[in-house]
Amino acid sequence: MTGRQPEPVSGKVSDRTSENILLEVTDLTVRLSSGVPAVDRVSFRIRRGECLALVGESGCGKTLTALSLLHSVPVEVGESRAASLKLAGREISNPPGSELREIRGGRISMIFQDPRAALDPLFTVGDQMVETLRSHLPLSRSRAVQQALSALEEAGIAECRRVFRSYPHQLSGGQCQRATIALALSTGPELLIADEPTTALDVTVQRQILDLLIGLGRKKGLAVLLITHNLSVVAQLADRVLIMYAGQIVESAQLEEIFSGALHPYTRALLDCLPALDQPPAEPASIPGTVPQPGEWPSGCRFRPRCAFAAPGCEKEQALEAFGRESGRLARCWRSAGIDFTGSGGGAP
Amino acid sequence: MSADSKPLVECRGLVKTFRLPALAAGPGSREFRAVDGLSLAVYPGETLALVGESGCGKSTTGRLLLRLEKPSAGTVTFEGRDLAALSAARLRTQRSRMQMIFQDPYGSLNPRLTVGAALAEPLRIHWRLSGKSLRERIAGLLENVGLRPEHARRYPHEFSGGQRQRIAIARAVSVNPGFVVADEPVSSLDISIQGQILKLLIELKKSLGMAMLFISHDLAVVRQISDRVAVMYRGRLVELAPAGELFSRPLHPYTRLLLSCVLAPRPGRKGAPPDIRSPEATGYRGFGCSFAGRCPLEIAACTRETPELRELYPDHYAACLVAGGKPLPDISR
Repeated sequence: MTGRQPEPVSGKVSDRTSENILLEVTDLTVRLSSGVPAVDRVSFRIRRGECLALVGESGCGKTLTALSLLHSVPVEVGESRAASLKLAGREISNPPGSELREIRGGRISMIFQDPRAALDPLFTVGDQMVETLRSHLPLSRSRAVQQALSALEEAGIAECRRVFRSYPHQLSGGQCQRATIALALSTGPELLIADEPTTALDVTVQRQILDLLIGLGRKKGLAVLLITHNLSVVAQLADRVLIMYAGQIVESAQLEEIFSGALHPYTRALLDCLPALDQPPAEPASIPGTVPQPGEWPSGCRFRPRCAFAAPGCEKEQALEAFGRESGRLARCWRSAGIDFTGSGGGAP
Repeated sequence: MSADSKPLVECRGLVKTFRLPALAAGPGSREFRAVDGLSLAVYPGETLALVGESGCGKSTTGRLLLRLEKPSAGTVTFEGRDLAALSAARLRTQRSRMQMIFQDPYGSLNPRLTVGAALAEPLRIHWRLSGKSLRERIAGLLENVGLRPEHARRYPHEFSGGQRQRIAIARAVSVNPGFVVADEPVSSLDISIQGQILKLLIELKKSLGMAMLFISHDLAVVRQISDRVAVMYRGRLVELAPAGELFSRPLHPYTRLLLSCVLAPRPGRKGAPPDIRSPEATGYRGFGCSFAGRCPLEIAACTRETPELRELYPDHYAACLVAGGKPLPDISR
């Protein structure tokens, strides 16, 4: 979120100072209520002030991963379990109710794809903000109103008083998303989880919301976990990227590395699927087969049935291995180092 | 598009107004003009993309062209026949020539019907097929869209989103329509699957010689599939041009704004977007340019005169008083 800093973000110094790590997730697993795993031993870290993108297609487990951080996977959906979940060094994998309330919406906030669904239609935006603020901070009503208004203003809402008094249905989609961002940031969280924050919005509004997130993130030194399927949005916002496929992280890299030299064939193929307006028009590209849903994962490398580079050896379970000297450069493909991606896209021939 | 070919589908002065519930309307008018005097022609075998943001009236236009909605004013003709003048029975026959593919492949298939039964319905009604010929046609259709004949016995829930969209496409093309309206057919699909469905649509369009109205908000996708592009803003056409022309020389400031907002799929932050005021900040009064108030090129006349589509370059139309008159300043930064 803070952009490329002068000292390398991936450098060993910042990596090893534990106070720089805001959130550390170790072996997070989510099982659906049917017993089928949907997230499979996912581990990652988020540094203070950085924007980490978690990228994947439907059913890959990215949203369940995010909800697990807040212990908010609905019981009827499934159950999450992590070997360790540390927020600023403190174990929160099994927090008492009072601490969980402080974390949820306090230290970690979340915004969603559909801002209208995230707001209660029966209460004005202002009522919801004041209630949230007062449940997290010791504020008088009038102080909370003031703080809510300034949060709305900070979120780029010019007529903050009108929006404060409005019900969600009286606002446009873009205004609603600005209001949910204001609501999420009003309690001063350290981490914002943004789940497809611009997917439901028009392109002109998408640009504005992205600019808002970039600006607010920088200003507040906020860490952002961006959950999305859209690599163009990732390219605008993220510092570091995790690519998920079938419940596993298959690649982890700095933003530029993903776009200039992705290691996993899935990442390559996904990039090739994106049409670009500033390139000559090309035939639509795709990846053969279907996106596997939980319960349909193949054995061994889970991308193998769709992969243009599948070879004997891919039927073995793949480990997430480090590549190069940089820390945090990981790929789950034993062939990564040896594949020549030039010429073939790695997706559909 | 050859100038002498006759339009397959044509609408003139199309208007659709919806009455708003009292609460939603607020202090202003209780009527909402979703489509506001739209004239457009689709030629045989072409893919015309209709692009615009949510609420611009593009889906309503698609539904009006198929007469799934009745226009408040204006006419729609199909192969020269006025659809409003057809009897209910004649209209039903006509429907086999015009089909629709919807955005949501989960909502557009009946969950209680097997795929075979869903595909059989239009074939029974329009082609009166039954028995072996029906089964053969269904098997052939499934193969044409990249599925297998035995899939006919399965139910929609057994398929992925992309496969369901294939089934919906098979159903739409089953009766060899001359015209298909595809309303955001890939928007709800995964990125890795979208290309498969676009390719399928391109192939089918070629092999069946259909014309297609491709409704989308995604300009990058539109460029891959369309022959011509129509840009809609607030119920009106603001620009209409061959695809290559529109993407290389967009004329209307709104089109230029849309294009400048498309994110490139690679790092490198875009600067601040051009001066975009939110649409809700500018109430449209029913005359003048509907983009006035958001437009960086606005001149005084824009709030008085309603711009009509003018042919500024061959086959390239724009509804703007300023565009085409002089070189436009670069607003995309």
